[in-house]
Amino acid sequence: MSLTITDSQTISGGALTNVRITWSGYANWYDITLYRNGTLICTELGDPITATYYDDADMSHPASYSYIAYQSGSPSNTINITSYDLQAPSGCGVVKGSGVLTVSWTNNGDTPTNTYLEKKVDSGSWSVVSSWGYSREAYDDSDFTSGHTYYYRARVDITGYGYSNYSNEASIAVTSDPTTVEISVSDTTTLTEDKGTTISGVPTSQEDTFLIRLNYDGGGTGPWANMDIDESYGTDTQTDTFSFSTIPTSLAADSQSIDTDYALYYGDLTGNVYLTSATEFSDDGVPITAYWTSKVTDFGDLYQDCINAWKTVYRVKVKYVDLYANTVITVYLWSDKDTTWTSQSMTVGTGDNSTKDIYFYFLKTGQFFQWKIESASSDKTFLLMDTSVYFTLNGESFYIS
Amino acid sequence: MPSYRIYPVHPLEHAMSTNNPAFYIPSSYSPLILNGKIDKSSFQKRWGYTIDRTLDQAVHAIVLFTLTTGTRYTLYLTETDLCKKETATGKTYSYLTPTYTGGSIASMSGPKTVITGGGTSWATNVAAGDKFIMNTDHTSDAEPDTDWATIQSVDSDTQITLTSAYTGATTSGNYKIRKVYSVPEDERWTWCIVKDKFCFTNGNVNVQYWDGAASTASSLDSTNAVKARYCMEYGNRLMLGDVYVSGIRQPLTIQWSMEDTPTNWTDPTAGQLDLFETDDFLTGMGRVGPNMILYKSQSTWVYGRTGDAFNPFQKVLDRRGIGCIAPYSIVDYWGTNYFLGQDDFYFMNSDFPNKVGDNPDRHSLIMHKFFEDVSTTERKRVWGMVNQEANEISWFANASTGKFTYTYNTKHDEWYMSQYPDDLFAFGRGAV
Repeated sequence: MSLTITDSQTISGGALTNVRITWSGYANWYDITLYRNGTLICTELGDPITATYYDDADMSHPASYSYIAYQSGSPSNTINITSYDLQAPSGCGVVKGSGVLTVSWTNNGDTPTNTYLEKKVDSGSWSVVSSWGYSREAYDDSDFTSGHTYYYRARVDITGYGYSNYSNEASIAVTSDPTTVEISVSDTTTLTEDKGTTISGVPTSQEDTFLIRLNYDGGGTGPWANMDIDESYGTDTQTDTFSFSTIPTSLAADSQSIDTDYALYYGDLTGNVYLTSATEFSDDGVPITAYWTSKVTDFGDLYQDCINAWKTVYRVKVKYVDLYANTVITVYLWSDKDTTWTSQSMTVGTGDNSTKDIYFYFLKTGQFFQWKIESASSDKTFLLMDTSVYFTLNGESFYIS
Repeated sequence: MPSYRIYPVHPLEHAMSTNNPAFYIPSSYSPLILNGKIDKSSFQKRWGYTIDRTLDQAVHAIVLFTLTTGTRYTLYLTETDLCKKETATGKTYSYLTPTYTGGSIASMSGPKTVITGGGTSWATNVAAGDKFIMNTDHTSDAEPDTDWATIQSVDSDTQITLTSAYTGATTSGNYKIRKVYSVPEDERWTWCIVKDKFCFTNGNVNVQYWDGAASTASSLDSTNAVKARYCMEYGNRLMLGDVYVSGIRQPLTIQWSMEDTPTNWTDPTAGQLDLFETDDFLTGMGRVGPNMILYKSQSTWVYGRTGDAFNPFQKVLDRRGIGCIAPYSIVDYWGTNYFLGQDDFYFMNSDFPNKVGDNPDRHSLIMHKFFEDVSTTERKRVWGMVNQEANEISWFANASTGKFTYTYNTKHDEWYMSQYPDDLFAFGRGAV
């Protein structure tokens, strides 16, 4: 009698992910070895051995496996097995869109060979809406009419292993689409005070529910409010009085916005009211001239030998944050013998927000100095970090190059 | 190359000195910043502005009036009117100033300068300076309507004369006359909100209020709440200061309404208090913590609440020698008041006036600058504002030397100055 092996597949939830290999042919066995895809996975030694099978739970899926056993060099038959995981789809749902019912679900387990979507109307029978030769998880169904309830369920298959179980059932009761109706507010004063008003409109068809959009401030941006109308509206112009269960807050304040936002305003003697903000760099178009001025100094607080001495300033370094491209910065320098400031202007910056140094060159001799950094613009600001003055003590050096 | 020495000024902690002030610096206060602020050790431009509305009179106050329901209104108090901002597209603002609409217009002649009414009682209800318009010509939410005409004279109950020909198309029918307010010279409106009522007064008219629902403002009590210069909410009552009693101004007197009812001035729990101990006039009112502060020009008076409805207030103490010289310089910030005194800006440190930003290195410089720029007369007109978002308190002095503001930054303990091209006269919050 020759060595024979058989498989005993364990299927759970549409999955074949482990297998039992049983050997037979003799009453007593000794020294059995079992190979899977050429790899030794089991050795049973003894005379006789007591085991009669091996459970292979180390299977991935999907995958193909070939099993063969040996006893004293004699092979058994070969068993070929393909593992798989065939799970039911889940999360089936349906929503109504514009002219379609959008059904969606989630496929689970191994990639299926085919996907099937089934449908029934009201208490009718299930039928396949469509099937696809691949894994699909959504479908737009345009075959529906209002007044019915539609049910959907999905399942998949893997060739050779049959179908999965069905997904959960999704359903939707289809009602009429709302119709946009143009209405006009006929009495805004009443609206203001009563948070309700008499409005009139011309519905284009009989509907159960109207979505009424309140158009306020002339912008048509009012919030949507649902309104049930019980009466039968035809093409005649009719007028009704009704109220919203929730008042659109933007209407409750007579064209004043109801929120917590506020702004800061100036008023002036001519009657102008101005909106002010940190991001406005002009006074209603008039450039803001902003400057920082140093103290008057003889540098004696840092260099005692500068006291009562003549100094020559060569340049002023300005460290600034480059907020805007092409910003004009002017540096002024004054010394004790001057009646006016000496100035240098430069257009600086690329707007890259980095911190930069820029030098303004002077040649001014004196005992006391003061300098000023200015920016005058209607559309730019600047951010001054610090300044430094480069000078020499004339008593110790004087250099002409 | 010469051996340069470097004199650094960094970081820019403030404008008035460096880290190591030189002993030999001249006494000039020349170190200044203008139109900027020191923030995060850097110098930046101050806030700018763009035009939002154009009213037809000087703007005295901009107020965000919020009712308990959350409904909000942006109100403007101008030289002549109470206005409500309109935010709809194409709209501007509407007037809430009281109107007279009795009778109707029968005809216009002269041409259209002499207005004849029927069933009108103009002699006692309107006055020269009031504004006239026909209803059908009036667009009430897009003011100023160009058809408003000014009354030159009230000739009789049935005839008024306009300063110029009426420009509207309608010559008969329903009309309205806007009974404009007036503000004493160099003074302005003060306002407060008590129990959902926006109350405002200026020393020249009966104390007014608007409740958010009525079509116009009204007098609180034309007999007992008259021509007060100052008002404030305290203890759920409307407090009035520098009032008229029986037609006579009483600048050392305060009055208060019934609790929760600012329109009731005859209830036994309404009352009056005279501050006769010193002869200086009241110059304003404020709240500091639980206390009410009554400012006089040379003294400060602190009052607390008793819990007795019929005798609701009692004096805690008075500080003589330091007062407020500019009524509209008083601002509320961080639970206390800041104001301009005789020789400095002060804030109430509990019940004691302290100098604002009393840093000898910098404070004295800006103070010298302020008192040099602004004359004694001009100081009394200084008005203050608080920009809490920028941590700034600014005092505006539209002085002959320039339209300067003197700003104290509470976060950085810094003073700086700004200059504006416009005669800014009011500041406030409004709905966006």
